[in-house]
Amino acid sequence: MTHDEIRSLLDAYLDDELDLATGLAVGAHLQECQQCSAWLAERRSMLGQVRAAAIPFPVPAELSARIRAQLGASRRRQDRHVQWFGALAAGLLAVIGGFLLGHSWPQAPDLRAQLIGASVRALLSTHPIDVLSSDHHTVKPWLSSQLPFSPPVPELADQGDTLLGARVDYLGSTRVAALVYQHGHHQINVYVWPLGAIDIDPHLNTQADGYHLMAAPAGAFTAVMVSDLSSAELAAFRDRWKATAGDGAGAGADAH
Amino acid sequence: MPLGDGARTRRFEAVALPHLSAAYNLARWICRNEADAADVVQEAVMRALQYFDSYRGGDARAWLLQIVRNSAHTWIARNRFAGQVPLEEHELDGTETEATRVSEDPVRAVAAQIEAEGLRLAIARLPLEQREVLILREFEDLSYRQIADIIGSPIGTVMSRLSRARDQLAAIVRGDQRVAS
Repeated sequence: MTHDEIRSLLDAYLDDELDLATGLAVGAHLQECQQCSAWLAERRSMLGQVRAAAIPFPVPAELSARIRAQLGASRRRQDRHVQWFGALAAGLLAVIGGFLLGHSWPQAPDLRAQLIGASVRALLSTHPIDVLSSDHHTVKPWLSSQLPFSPPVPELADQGDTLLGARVDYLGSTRVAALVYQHGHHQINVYVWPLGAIDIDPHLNTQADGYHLMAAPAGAFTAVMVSDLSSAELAAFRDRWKATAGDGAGAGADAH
Repeated sequence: MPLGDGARTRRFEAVALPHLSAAYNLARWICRNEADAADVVQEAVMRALQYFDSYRGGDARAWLLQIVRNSAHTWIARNRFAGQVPLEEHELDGTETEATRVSEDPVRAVAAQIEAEGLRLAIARLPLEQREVLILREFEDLSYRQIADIIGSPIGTVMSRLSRARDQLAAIVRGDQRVAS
């Protein structure tokens, strides 16, 4: 392949979309061609900036409500035509579907179920994280811009817990910060809200559906960890998180 | 009749609603304003429910995004005909700019903010056919194959549109750096 042909394939190379043979040929060319490798480096850095700017527009609450209402109407309309055993099967399917997908809309389940539901949804979603960054200098300002408070965002990479990023989640009608960490093969969702915004037992330590839930008071905030980690491992994580969040409590406690 | 349609709607909700955010984001970038994007998404969700029987498993997000994309294009065609779409008028939400408010390093945050805002504006100004491909790739991280299916074009078209979109953004980023230094 000529230099120009290779050049036209560099975007696909970067996206890992070339077949093996072509990919190898491009790789070999990059070893020798300073111009192409410089171009690729610049492209990578530019795309890094694009991805950093790729914060999704938040769904307007009014739109969610509209869609929910319309789907609810559709369900009720259709359910009237169902035989009693049909209704039973439909209910079962909904329960199973809801269980599998952690999807508990539109009922308002208790907080524990909501926390697990939110975590399962995030795990199943291809978009579990709105701001992808292991740097609290990126994550914290983003959360502050989305929420009326500025939660602590401890970095624990040196202790084996990688910060993957964060998103904003709803518990009932309260907007909370959700920090996502990776520990080994497991993800941990840490929900954070200002003290008192949602009432929860500060020593909550429970499990359901294979998930463990643990609460942790953190200065002016309440945090709840949700994960499929073992109870002991999650407790260890909670202690590491609390210790580091405590360090930065001065900066983190500026709820406003 | 073993299953009622109410159950079908519930199953649809479980499959489609987790992707509502991606759906709205795509519509918002295509339409470039909030009210129209909301209408497009609502219409697309109802259309998706109607066509739910045609969903054969697989990537539900890509499936929903295809319907959203088609609804958005229908909306554009309808409004262009009426000559009433202010396509170049773009208002970015003020939400992101608040990042500067509580940051620990305001100077750094402002610089990053300006850079990000500049890029978002540049993306908004890309021609529609490049913009939608870029959003599907850089925001949604879909494969070329998935994007090709969504826009109903060959993979080669995806590649060339994506490259052109990136070239334009690269030119803007380079320009920024020249101004800054």
